[in-house]
Amino acid sequence: MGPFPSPFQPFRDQRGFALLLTLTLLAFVVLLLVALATYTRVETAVAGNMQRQAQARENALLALDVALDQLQQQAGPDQRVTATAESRSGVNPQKRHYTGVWNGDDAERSPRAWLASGAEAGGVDLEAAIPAARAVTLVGTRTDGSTAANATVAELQDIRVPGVPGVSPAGSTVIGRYAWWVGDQGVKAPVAVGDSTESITFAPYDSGELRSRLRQQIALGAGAADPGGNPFFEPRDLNNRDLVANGKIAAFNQISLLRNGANAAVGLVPLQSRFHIWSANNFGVLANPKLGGLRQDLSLMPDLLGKEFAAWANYESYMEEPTPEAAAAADPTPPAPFPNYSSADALRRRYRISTGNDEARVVPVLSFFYLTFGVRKPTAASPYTVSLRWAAALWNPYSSALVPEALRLEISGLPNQVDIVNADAGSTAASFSLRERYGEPLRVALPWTLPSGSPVSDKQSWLPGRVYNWTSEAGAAPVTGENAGRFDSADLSSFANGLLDSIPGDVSVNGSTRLALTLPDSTTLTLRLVRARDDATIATYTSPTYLPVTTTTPSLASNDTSPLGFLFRLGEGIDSIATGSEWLTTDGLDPRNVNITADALRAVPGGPDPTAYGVPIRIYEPDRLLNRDKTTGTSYDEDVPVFELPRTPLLSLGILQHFPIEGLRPFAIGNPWGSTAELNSIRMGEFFDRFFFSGLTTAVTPSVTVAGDLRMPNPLLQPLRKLDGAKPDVADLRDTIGSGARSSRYFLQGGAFNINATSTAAWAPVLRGIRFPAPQSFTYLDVSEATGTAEDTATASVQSGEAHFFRFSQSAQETYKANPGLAETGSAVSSPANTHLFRRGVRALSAEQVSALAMRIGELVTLKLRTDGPFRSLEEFISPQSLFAGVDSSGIPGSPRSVLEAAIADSELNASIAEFSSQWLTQGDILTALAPVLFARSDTFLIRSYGEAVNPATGATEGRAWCEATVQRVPEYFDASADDAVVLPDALTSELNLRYGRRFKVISFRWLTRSDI
Amino acid sequence: MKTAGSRDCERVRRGRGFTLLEVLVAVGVTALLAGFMVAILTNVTGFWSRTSGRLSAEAQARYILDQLTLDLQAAWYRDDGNTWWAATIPVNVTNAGTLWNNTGTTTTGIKPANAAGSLQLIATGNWGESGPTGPRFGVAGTWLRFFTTKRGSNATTDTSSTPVAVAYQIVRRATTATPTNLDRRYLLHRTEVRPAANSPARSGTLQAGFNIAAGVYQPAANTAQPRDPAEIRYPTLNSVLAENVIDFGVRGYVYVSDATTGGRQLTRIFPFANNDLAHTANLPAGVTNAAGNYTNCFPEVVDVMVRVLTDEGARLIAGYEANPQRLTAPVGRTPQQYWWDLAMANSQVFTRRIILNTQPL
Repeated sequence: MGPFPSPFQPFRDQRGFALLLTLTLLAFVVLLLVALATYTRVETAVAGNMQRQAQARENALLALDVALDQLQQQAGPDQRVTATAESRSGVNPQKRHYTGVWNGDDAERSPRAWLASGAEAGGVDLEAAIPAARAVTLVGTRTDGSTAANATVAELQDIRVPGVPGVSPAGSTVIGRYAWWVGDQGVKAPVAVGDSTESITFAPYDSGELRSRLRQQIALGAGAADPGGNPFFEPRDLNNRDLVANGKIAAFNQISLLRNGANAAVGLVPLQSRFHIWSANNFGVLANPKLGGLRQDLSLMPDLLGKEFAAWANYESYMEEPTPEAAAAADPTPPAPFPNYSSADALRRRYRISTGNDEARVVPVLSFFYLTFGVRKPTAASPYTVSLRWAAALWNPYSSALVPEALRLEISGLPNQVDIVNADAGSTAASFSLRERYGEPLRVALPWTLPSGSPVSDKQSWLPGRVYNWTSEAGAAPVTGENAGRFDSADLSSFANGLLDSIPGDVSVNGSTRLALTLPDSTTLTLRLVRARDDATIATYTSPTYLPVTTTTPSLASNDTSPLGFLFRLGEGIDSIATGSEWLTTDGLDPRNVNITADALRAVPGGPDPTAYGVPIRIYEPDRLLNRDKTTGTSYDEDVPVFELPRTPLLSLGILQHFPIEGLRPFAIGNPWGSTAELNSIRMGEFFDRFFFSGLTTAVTPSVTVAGDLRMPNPLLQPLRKLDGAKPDVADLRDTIGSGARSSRYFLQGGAFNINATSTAAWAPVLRGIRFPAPQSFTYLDVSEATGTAEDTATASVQSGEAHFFRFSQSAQETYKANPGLAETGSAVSSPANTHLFRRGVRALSAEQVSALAMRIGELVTLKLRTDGPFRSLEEFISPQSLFAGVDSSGIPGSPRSVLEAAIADSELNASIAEFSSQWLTQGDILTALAPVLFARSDTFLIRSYGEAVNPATGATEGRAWCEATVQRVPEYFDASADDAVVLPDALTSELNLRYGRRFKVISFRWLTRSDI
Repeated sequence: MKTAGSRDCERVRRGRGFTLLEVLVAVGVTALLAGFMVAILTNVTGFWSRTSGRLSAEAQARYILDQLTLDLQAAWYRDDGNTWWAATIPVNVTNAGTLWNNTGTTTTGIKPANAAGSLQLIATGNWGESGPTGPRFGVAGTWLRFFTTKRGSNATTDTSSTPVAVAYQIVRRATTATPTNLDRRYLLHRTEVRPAANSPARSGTLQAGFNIAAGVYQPAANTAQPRDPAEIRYPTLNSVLAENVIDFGVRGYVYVSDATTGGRQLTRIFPFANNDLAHTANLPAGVTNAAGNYTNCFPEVVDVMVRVLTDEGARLIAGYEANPQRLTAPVGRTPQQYWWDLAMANSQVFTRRIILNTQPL
């Protein structure tokens, strides 16, 4: 082109204008269409993605259904127990949190199934690693802080369908995959359980004080604390009390929202590292894992354990009503308590002595008996005068006061022949029979005589653990009826003031003649302690057998000599060292027995030689527990309570350790030594699997919440609806008596914990189930040292987050105050009689002790799991086993022990405790706190499932979804219409119920994001 | 050979013009082409508009329904007498209330409470437009609230995956807090209360408790800040889930044992009757209340429905509701009828059935 435009150029430019315009328009249209198509494609792709995501979610829900099916099959029946794989040797780190299910009625070491994906396809190999391409993480770093190497993974299962286009009709194509895992919630400590005791306002909990005592009777939720005992958070404190109320903390992550001591949120990081240790709460079906069937309610049917137990549990029939009016009305016989009760929620209680004949057995115990006799003949003209004197001490072994009343001792077996020997002449001057002279039996009164100036605090009631003394009344002649006794007298009167009798004999003997006594036969006394008002036998004591006496050392006949005597004391700790027969720890030697044999008694200090007791011996012996100096001994420091009587409805089977069983060692129920013994033809160890306490005694009428739920004395009992949808009322519960009192059909037990848990960090909070963090407190009677009692308004309090184990779970507040090392008022010397160890009634464990105990329990449970699988029942857990036997220093195995017994011993918790006292922690004490919440299996589980959508053409994964469900086993059977919940397994009519047992329900569900995994 | 161009040049050189016929033919052809183009463009843009509007509405609806699905599937229920799930169809037929027609509006909305054409609540003969018992979900759709588990990032406790109170509610309001555009839009809100208090003054679900009918979730006065419990009742702009949602409906069902067949029959519990405008679930599924019916049951199955305007529909409705109106009802149609005419022509209805996974104990 030249530098100048052609004159024809405009005409040339106009050429094709229309075409250009047309093309432009067409291009615009095309562009529009392309843009639309692109937009449509993007929208379609988005829709496709969402569709595949929806498909992935459906696959995750499918996995959840598969998991639920497997869980229902394996863990639905009662006779199954669960544990995790954590303690198994050789377990793959990525499978250590798998849940196993074992049969409860056999001892097979291997489980029926491990509950993770693959179980539905033949089983899970616990040791083999899952190939990375087939593994999906279900519990990873955002859940529990785990690394890739030890995250909990599950194996992917293919979802295949036939007939996908492009694939051989005979074949199938993968269109998705799924995986699932079932986590055992029951092995985690329920650390966010609220304390709702304040809402229990019905009788007998209709006062703040009585309500507060619920906290010392049963564990009300685990207490999470670091090894130093510092709480991570305290659900009962003011910061959290409202947050955890009414079960508001239902999800694990909500624990992060609770407040710590600095009133800051707990946070997610501490929570993640305890995902396998803590839970918000767990619930257990009150069922028997060994025999199947629901547990029976001893509150409704106490006679399931026999009439003696029913009488004992019916405390209202023998407990004095603690009201000022009732006490005043009782005056003057028996004595009214002093100080009088200030209100119905008085810290003190009194019980009427009852003998066990068609009533409960509440008896004082003869702790000391002394009888001495001698002969005097001052002149030749005077007759031989026999003087018999006696002293007795009776002990209230209970942590509550007794209502005083007159008793009587009937003494049989006095020497039938006593020879008076003229030592100077070497002849028998006279012979007599004590039986004939004083009666067979010799009856002596044990009156309760109030002193002048009454009321006097320590005489108005038979104070807890206190010994009172009686001696023979001065200067009386023996009568065939009841010989007078003197109350509150510790020292024998003089010879001249004994029970005097004259006997004939050699008249040549005068005051200067030396006399001696001879007992040709051995002597065994039998003493019957009798309730004076109706002659009911309280107990019979058979003394040690005293040796014959060849002759006593002669002394002048004019002397007030009492050369022979019989003395025995109730054997106690100080005697055990010498004899090896431990006080309170030997079969048959329960001091509350009807028949106390000589094995339980000690002729101390002189042994069985009657000449050793010729010189009058005082009751007072400061190194002994069961004695009392009547002149200065009014301090509570001299009192030794050992046993407890019920004062409110029983809530824990552990408290049955106080139930006396003739012929057995004390504290038999719940402790290893009683586990194989039977009561009412049922092994006592089995009680913990067969029974429970709802607290619904005949005298209790629970209130109803606004929602219509029964509010039970055990606040962790979660009421359930009946099958018809209505909420059960008291009548419904009582109606279950017809079906064996299986009111458990209407409840789940909150705060449940699986004894097959191996984690120290889980056991430790559970062991802290009873604690008194601020603003809660344990309030006790601030007893006066001058009297041993106090007004109910005189109280002091303890606030402590430490683990408390009550021996006196219903009454410790009455005896708690004690001074260590001082068993005698005014003594400046510490005494080995550790009365304070008995009085306290509760053992508090420090953080270090709790950690040590929890660690040892975890180790022993692990040992059990590795050896022969999990505990199949609570009975197995509390019974001695060779597996847990200790070894002595030479490596010789010791006696079989239970887990708790071994753990207590190995942790040396009782190493510094001198006596078998309330400070001597026993398995029974731990069960008192924990029995309601311990189970051999779990009924709450966490299911995590995963689903993915797979492109059938490319095989690529195009959508993923995770979900989580908490599932809960409930009492109703899988097919509730076929079999009632109370039906026992062998009577089930439905095949479905035989196979699937009791129903699992999904109680919460959520979708997870990657941030949750 | 001479090309056309050379002939034109020659014609010019010769000083000759186009013949009339040539001009007429040229004009005719051009007009024809232009007409075709206009027609094509009109169709294409119309198709574009409809398609994009539909796609936009579908995307909105999918998002809404997915959120509802995730939330409802994870809904919490505890048999403690508290209300864990509630749905209310506002009875307000004058749009004077504050539930959906938030403060600051320039004119009273004219969305009719009831008219034929929307998703029917109940097959009933009561098609009147003046009462609250008609076939639509009231003037404002359903106010749905319940407790679900938040799908959080778990970066902090405030974003942790924990149970929270949520509510779905349509509010007709300006899309900014200080509106310069006076037009109002129909905004569907998804309120999510924070898991727990983040300061003494800013309470959370844990403090407010698990009773969605409690006063703390529906105070008399609107003082709600974002994520406060009060936002359940008074949602803020922070909670907008989608716009142009002009109806939101919920139906609840439970399975009831059939005494005759022994099977389980899916039975609608909300709306239970024509005049059933509120449902408070404080009983487990299948449990009758004092009146002997299931109107207080926690539903096992929920149908949800949303009607979403296309962008064009939203523009038209906004213009129709503007003050002064940019669009008026034609002769022969009442204002309410024409509102629905516009809505029906420019909206779509989406539904989904959702199974709630939680079972009460």
